[in-house]
Amino acid sequence: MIRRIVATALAVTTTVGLTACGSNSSSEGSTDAVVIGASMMLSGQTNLETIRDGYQWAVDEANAAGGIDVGGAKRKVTLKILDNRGDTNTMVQQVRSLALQDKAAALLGSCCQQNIDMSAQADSLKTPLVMGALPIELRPDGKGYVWDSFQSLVDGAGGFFQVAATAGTNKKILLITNNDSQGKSTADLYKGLAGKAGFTVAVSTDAPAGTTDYSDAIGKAKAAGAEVVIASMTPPDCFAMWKQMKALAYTPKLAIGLQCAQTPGWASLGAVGAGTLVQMSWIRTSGLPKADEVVSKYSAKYPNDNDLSSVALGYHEATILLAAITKAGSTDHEKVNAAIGQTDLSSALGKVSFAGGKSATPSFVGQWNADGTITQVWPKQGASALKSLSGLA
Amino acid sequence: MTGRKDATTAGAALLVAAVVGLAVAPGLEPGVQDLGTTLLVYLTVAQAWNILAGFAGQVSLGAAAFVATGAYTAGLALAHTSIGWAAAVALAGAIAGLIAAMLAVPLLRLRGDYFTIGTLAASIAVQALLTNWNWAGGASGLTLPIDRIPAGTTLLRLAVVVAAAAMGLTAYVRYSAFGLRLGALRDNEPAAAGLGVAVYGHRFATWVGSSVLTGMAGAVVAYQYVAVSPSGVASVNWSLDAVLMALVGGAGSLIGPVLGTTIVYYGLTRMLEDFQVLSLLVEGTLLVLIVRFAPAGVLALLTRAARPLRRAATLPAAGTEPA
Repeated sequence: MIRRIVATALAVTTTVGLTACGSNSSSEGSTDAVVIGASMMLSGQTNLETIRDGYQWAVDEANAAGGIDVGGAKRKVTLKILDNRGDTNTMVQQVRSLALQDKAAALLGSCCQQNIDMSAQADSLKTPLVMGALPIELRPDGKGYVWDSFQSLVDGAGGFFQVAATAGTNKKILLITNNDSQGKSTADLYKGLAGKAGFTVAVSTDAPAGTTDYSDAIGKAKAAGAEVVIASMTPPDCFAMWKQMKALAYTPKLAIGLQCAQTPGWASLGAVGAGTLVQMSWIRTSGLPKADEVVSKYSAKYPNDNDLSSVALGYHEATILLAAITKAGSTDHEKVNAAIGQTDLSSALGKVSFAGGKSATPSFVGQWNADGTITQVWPKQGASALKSLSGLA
Repeated sequence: MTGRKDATTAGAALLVAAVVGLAVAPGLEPGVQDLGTTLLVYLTVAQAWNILAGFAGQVSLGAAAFVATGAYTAGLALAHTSIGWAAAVALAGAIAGLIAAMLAVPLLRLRGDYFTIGTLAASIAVQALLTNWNWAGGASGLTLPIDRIPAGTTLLRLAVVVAAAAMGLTAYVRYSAFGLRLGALRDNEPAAAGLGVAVYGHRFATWVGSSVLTGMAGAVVAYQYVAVSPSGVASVNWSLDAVLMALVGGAGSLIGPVLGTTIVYYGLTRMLEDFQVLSLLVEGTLLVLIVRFAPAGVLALLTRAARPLRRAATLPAAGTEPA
């Protein structure tokens, strides 16, 4: 009897709860705030607070101007950002909750592999998603609701080989990547370009994310005399490998950390990370719109250009979305989606014009300094001279 | 006699709940449908764990392996064959059961903590296998064909059917002679074996049955997630959530996991979604408190709290003369 009472109470509670949960109504056609949602890694192994700050900056700027113009009416923007702790399951549930319960007009992206998983949700929910932090070649084909404005791997790789050609190495490469889609694409791309640039891939290997022992790859690279390291890996893996290269006295003359040296946290390697090259979509010497404002507004909080580039990225993505909502004159998903496709503006990462859901931003190659700052080494305009790979010397 | 009456009541209640769930699904808002689907998936996984650990005493940390098996089976089947989504769910359950049967050979030789560690190792091995299985997308996983998977009302109805299967199997275990023998094995295996209970057969049936249910839940997860990857569907969090939800509600009971799923997912994860770190802290603290002070779960606490009410209701009113 008691169990039956408990079960009944539970059923009633659940039903009431579910009903309450579903009481939100669509903001379409209303003067309520426009909701934009994002599920991001804000705690755990990777912290994207830099990108979040960029999102918030764009929204604050819009709200300070009285909101955005939606169909002739000024509406404030509410940016609802949830921390998914880097957990895929949490991310999926949050994205679905943002789209279905919070009635978000559109979504903003997270980073890396999460953006791939999030893309499937955006297509499934028919909710526009504007994202960066995932090279445009890696964005999976979908149903047309995902928009990626970020750098192109090809452009960055071309820049890297131009820099590498001047570094005085024996042109033998250790190529190591994660075994995910980004890693595989990167490996294929660099293998193809290496031959054309006169380099030889002496050792090529991949490893699942989470690998902690790279002694085998390092041993092979030493045996092959590889003086150039190209690593495309998640940050913790990369950090482990850089420390092991140092510990095992492997002394390449040139190294680039794709993904990993580009994410917040690389500076934690300290002197070991000095001299490593990094591919970037923004740098203070880039001459891009708002570059000075990014520096003046955020350099006290984020001293190095790597973090500042993420702030610029966040601002860039959010600006694209806000402009599209205004252009659509509506928060209707289909109208906003169509408007994003017609974007024609210039923001913190340069000009935006989508083709096939992608709009490439400029590429830069930077070099980490021992003091945690980054110096542009490519392209020539705004660049300084390449220094030695002192961290692994 | 009372047991048979309770079983009939439970079966009827379950049937009514399932029919109501199927009937009201189309009238719910999309957000509520999605929340309902998620809750029912967690309920299925928690209930499957409950059958294994709560009733049979085999504490597993391997649920994630079968969620992943089911999700990948359904995903690969839809991506590479022409079978329908419903058949893919059945296939997901079948493959999960098959893999469970294979894993039974080493795992069911283990007892107690060794079995628990063995299931955790199997789960980690499955995740590593999927991460390195390039045909299935490696670490990036695979995306299901969106046009061929159920969504909204249909997905919720599928989740209702799968959860009803889990509840039905649990009700069978709770009220049948098979369940009594499982309880005997859980409480004193040598004694039960001495009385003629087929130890391996009962453990095998429970292990495989629980895995089939978890695999079917994995297929529902795949349809909801659209993209399946080792970091998601094979995450050890599935195993931990199953344990947490069943223990908080009350393992070894029919209603406990229902209560636990609601409290943990809806009450903590969802309500505290703006405070992720706090949510984790509360979940961890709750688990410690439950294990320490209420090992039979919240259901037992509620039952105990309601006992005085029941006693008061059955006592004759003051001044009433007994007949």
